[in-house]
Amino acid sequence: MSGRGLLVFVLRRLVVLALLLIVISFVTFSLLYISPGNLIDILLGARPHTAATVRALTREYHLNKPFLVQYWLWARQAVQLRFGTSIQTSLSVTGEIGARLPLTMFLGIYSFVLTMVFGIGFGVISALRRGGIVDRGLVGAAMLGLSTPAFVAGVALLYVFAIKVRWFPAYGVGTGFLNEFWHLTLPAVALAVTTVAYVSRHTRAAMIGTLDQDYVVFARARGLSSRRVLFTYLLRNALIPVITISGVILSSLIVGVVLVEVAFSLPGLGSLLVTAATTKDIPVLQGVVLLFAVVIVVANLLADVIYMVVDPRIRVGERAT
Amino acid sequence: MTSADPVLLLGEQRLRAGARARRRVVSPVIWLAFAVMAGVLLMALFGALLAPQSPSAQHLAIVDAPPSGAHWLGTDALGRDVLSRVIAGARTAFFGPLVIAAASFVLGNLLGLLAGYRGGLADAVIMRWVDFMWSLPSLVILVVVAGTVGSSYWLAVAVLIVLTVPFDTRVIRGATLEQVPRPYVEAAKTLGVPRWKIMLFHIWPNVSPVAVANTCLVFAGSLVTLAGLEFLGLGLPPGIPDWGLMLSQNEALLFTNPLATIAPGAMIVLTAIAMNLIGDWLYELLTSRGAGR
Amino acid sequence: MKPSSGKRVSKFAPLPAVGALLIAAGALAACSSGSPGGSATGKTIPQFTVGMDPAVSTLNYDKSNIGYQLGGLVMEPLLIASKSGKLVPWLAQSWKQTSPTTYVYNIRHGVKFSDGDTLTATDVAFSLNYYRRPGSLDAYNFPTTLKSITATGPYTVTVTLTKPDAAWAVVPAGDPMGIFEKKWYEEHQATFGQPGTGVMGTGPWVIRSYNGTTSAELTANPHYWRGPVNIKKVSVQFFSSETSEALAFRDGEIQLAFPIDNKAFASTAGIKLTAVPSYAVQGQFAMNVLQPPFNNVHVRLAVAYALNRADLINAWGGYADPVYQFLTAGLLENIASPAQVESVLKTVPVYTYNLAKAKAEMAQSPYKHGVSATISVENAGSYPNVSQAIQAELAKIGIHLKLDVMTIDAQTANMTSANRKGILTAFTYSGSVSRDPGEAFDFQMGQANISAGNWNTDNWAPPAVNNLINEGFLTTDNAKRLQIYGEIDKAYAEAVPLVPIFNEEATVALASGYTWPDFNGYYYDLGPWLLGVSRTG
Repeated sequence: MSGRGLLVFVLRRLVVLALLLIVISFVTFSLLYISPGNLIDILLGARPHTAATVRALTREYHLNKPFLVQYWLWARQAVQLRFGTSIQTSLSVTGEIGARLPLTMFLGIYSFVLTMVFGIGFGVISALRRGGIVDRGLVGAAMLGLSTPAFVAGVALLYVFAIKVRWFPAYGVGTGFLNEFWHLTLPAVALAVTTVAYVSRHTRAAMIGTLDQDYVVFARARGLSSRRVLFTYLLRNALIPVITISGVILSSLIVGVVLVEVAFSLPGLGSLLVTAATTKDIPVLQGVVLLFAVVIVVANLLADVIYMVVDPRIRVGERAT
Repeated sequence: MTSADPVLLLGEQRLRAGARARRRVVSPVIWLAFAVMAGVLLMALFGALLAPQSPSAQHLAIVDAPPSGAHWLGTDALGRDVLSRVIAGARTAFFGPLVIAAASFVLGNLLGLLAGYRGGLADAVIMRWVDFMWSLPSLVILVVVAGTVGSSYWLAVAVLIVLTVPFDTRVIRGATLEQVPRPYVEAAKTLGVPRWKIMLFHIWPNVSPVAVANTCLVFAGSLVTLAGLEFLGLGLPPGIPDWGLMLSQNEALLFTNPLATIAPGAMIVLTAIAMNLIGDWLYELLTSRGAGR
Repeated sequence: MKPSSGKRVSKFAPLPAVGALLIAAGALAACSSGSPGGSATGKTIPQFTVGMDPAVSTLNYDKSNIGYQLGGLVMEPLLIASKSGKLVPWLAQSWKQTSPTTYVYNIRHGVKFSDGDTLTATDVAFSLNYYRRPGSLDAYNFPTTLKSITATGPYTVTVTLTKPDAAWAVVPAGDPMGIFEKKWYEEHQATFGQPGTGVMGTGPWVIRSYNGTTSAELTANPHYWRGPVNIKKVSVQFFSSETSEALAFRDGEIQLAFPIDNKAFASTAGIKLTAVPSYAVQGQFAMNVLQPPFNNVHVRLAVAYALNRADLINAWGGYADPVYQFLTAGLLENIASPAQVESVLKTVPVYTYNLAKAKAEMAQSPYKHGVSATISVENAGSYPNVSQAIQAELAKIGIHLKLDVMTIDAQTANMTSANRKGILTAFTYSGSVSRDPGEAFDFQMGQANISAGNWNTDNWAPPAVNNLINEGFLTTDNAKRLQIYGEIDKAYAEAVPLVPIFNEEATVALASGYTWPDFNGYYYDLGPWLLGVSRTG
C-alpha cells in the first residue's frame, strides 16, 4: 500500500472523525434537555430556589437563548476543554476529570498490558498444544473468563485476596508508582479477566487457521527452523485479527473500568461517571461522555491505520469480515 | 523420537481432532449447561412458587444473619431470605436478555441478509452504521441514559436492543456473504425467484445455525451487561430481587454473610457460562468448520 | 427534614454532609469562661488519621456544606458549645447583649492566622457576611431576624437583629461559622476553598496539601493561640464508599471515622462503635395532610399504630432509640428537670405498635378496603431499606405504598416546592438546628413554613399551634415554655401529621488506645473537634 494511499485513507478517516465528534457533541449537549424534571431544579442541585439563584443560573447556562445558540456556546467552551462546573461539588468539570484521569489511565494501561500479554500468550500456547490438556484447560478458563463480568470478578477477588487471604490491599490507591501498582493489581486483574479470555480465543482461532495454511508447510519444507517459522510468519499473521477486535477490547476495558472502580471504590473516571449519573450531575456527565467518545473514536482510527500498515493485502474500501 | 517441532506436532493433532469431531458425542458439560438453563428458566417462570419463602418478607430481628436451618443462604440487610431472593432474581436475569436476544435476532438477521445479499448502497450504509456502533461501550451508554432520562429496566432493554443489533447484523452479513456465491443461489436467481424469497427461504436456512448460535452469545452478553447496570444501582428500584443488585447491596455484608454476595454472583457466572457453552456447541455442531476448532 | 448531619451517603451519592446543628442555650448563661474541650492534655500524638466519606470537594461553605468536618480543624468560630450546651468563649473572648436587638462581640487580641497575620474584627464580619450571602449554601444557619453584622472597631463586632430573638445567642457557635482571613480570601478568590488552595484560618491545624479525591494533610499550627497542639500531624483520607473506609479502619490505616451505616461499618471494621444517645436528629414519617389518603386523620392514626419502631431501627442499621413524641423528653430537658418533663408529657397521647388498633382506625376511614399512595425515597444510605420496611408494615393494614426513589436534590425540590399539594409523604431524617426545644424543629413547623423553599412538608399548621409557637419564643419563663411545648406535642399527637420514629445515636469509630470524652451529638459545635481526642493510658 503506497504512502499516498495511506495518507488519503487517514485524511478521509479524520474527516469522518470530525463529523462523528460533532454529532456526539450535539447528542451530549442535548442530554441536558432529555432529562425529565424541571431543568432549573436539576441545575440548582442543593442550592435554594430563589429569584437570585435562578437568575444566576439562567445567565450561566444561557437558558433564555435558542437551543442551537446554546449548543454553539457550549461547544465553543467544550473545544477549549471547559465544561462548566459540577452541580454536586461546584468544582470545574475539567478539574474533576483531570484529578481522576491519571488513575483511570494507569488502570486502563495496566489492564491492557495484562490483556495483551496473557491473551496472546494463552492463545498461542493453546493453539500449539491443540487438543491437549493444557489447551482444554485454557479453553475452559477462557469460557469462564468470558462469562465472568468485571464486577463479579472484582468482588470475588476483593473477598478472596484482600479480605480472606490479605495478599493485596483492599482499598485506596497508594502513593508512589510501585505502591499504586500494588494497589491496582486486583482491579486490573478483575478488568482483564474478560478481555484476556476474548483475546486468547481469537488468537487461538487465528493461530490455528494460520497453522493450516500452505505457506507454513512450505516454509517448513524449505528447511527453516520451527522457531523461525513460528515467530516470523505465524505470530505476525495471527496478530492481525487481534487488531481487528481491538475496538471491542477497548470498549470492553472502558465498561470494565467503570464496574471495577465502583467495586473497589477507586476515585477514577468510571466512578465519576456513575456518581454523575446517580446524582444527575449533567455537566460532569457531558464532560466524561465526550472524553470517552473521543478516546474510542481516536483509538479506532489508530487501530485501522495500524491494520492498514501491517497487512498489505487489505486495500482501502475492502473490508475483511 | 518425539519431535518437539510444533509444526509437525500440529499436523498429527489435526488428524486426530478431525476424527474426534466426526464422532459428534455430546459431552457431559453440555448436558450440564442445558440443565442449568432449564433450571434458570424454571426459576424465572415460577420463582415465587419455588422459593422456600417470600423474597420480600422481612425479618428485621435477624438481619445480616449467616446461613441457618431456616435460611440456607442467610439473610440480607432487611432480614430477607437470600436463597428465595436468588431464585426470584432469575426473572430479571432471564426475561430482559430474552427479549433483547429475540429482538436483535429478528432485526439483525433482516439487516444482515439485506447487507450481504443486496450489497451496494444498502450494504455500505448498513456497514457504516455497524462499524460505528460495534465498538461502543454499551454499559457506559446505559449509564448515561439512566443518568439523564431515568433508570428503568425496560428502557435499558430497549437501548440494549439498539446496541446489539449491529453485532448480529455483522455476523449474519458475514455468513450471508459466504452463501451468496454458492450455486443454489445462482440457480434460484435464474429461476426468477423474487429476491426477498431467496433471502428468507433459500439463504437464511443455511445461515440460521450461525444465527442461533450467535443469539445464545447475545443472551449471555446482555445478561451480564444488565446485571452490571443493576450492580451500579441504575435500572431497578431497590426492592426487586435481582442478582446484580444483590451483589452490590450485599457487599457491605461481606464480613457477616458473604454468601449473600457470592450466591448471586455465582448465578450470573453460571448462567452466562451455560449460555456461552451452548452457543459454542451449537455453532460447532451446525457448521462444517467444527473439525478445525 | 432539613438535610443535615453527615449521615446519609452511599457509595454512589456524595451528599452534603454536616448541616447546621447549632446549639441554642436558650436561657442558659452566655458569658462564662469554663474550661473548653481539651487541648494539650495527655500525651503527644505524632500522627493521627481520620477517614471521611465522601471526599470533601471544597471548603468554601458558600458552595457546599460537605466540608464542615475538615474545615472545622482549620477555621474557628467565635464561640463554642460544650458537651452540656454551655456557651464558651473562643475567638470572641466575651460578648454582651447591649439591647434586645443588639449583641456586641469582643474579639480576642493577639490571635494569628497561620500565615502570620493578626485576626481582627474585619475578618470576622467579612466571614460571617460571606456565609449568609443570598444563594449561599451556608445561609440557612442564620435566622431571618438578622439585620446586620458589622465591624465596629478593630476588635469589636456588632450584630443587630430586626426584633428580639433568643435563638441568636448560639448562632455564631459551630464549625459552619469558621472565620477565615479576608485578605487571604481576596488573594485567592477564584479558587477559595478548592483542592490545591484550601482556606486560611486560626485553627490548631494548617493545611499542607489538599487533594479533592484522595486526601488532605495537616500539620499542627506552632503559633496556635491556645498553646501547643497535642496531635502533630493529621492525615484525612477520603473514601468513596463506606465499605472501603471500614476496611481501612480494620487495617489500622485510619484511627477515626464517622460511620453512616453503623452496623455494616462496625462489622466490617471489626470494632465496637462509640455510641452516645442524642436527640439531635429524628427519623420521622412525615405525611402530607393535603394529599389523600393522608388527609384523613384515621389513616394517619392507623399509620402511627402500624409502624414498628424496633423493626425500623433494625432496617436503619441500629444505633437509634425509639421516640414517641415530636418534641422529645431529651429536648425538653434543656429547659426543665426530667421530673417536670415527665409530668407534662403524661398528657400527650402515645401510639405504640398495635396492628389491631391500626386496622380499627383504617376501618373508620374511607379506605376500609385499602388504598394506594406514593412516597418519595432518597436513593442513598438506609433510606431505601427503611422505606421498604415501612412499605411492608403498612401493607398489612391495607395501605399499599409505591416507592418513588429519587436523588436528594430531586427530593428536596419536591419537598420545598410551591406546590404544597404535590409534596410526597416520606420517611426522612430531620436534623434539629438547636438544643432549644422551640428552635430545634422550628423550620418544619408553623404556617410560615408552608411556602416555597420551606420545610413544613406536612402542611399542617392550625392557628392554635401557630399561636403556641409564637408564645414559646416570646417568654423566657422556662416553666411556661415547658407547658407550651407540651401543648404543641399534644396537638401533634392528636392530629398525627408526622410519626416520630427514632432519635439516632451519635456514633464514632475510634481506634483502641484513643478516647474522646466530649463526643456528643453536637460534636461539631465543639470548635476544632479533634482537640478532644487523646491517648488513653
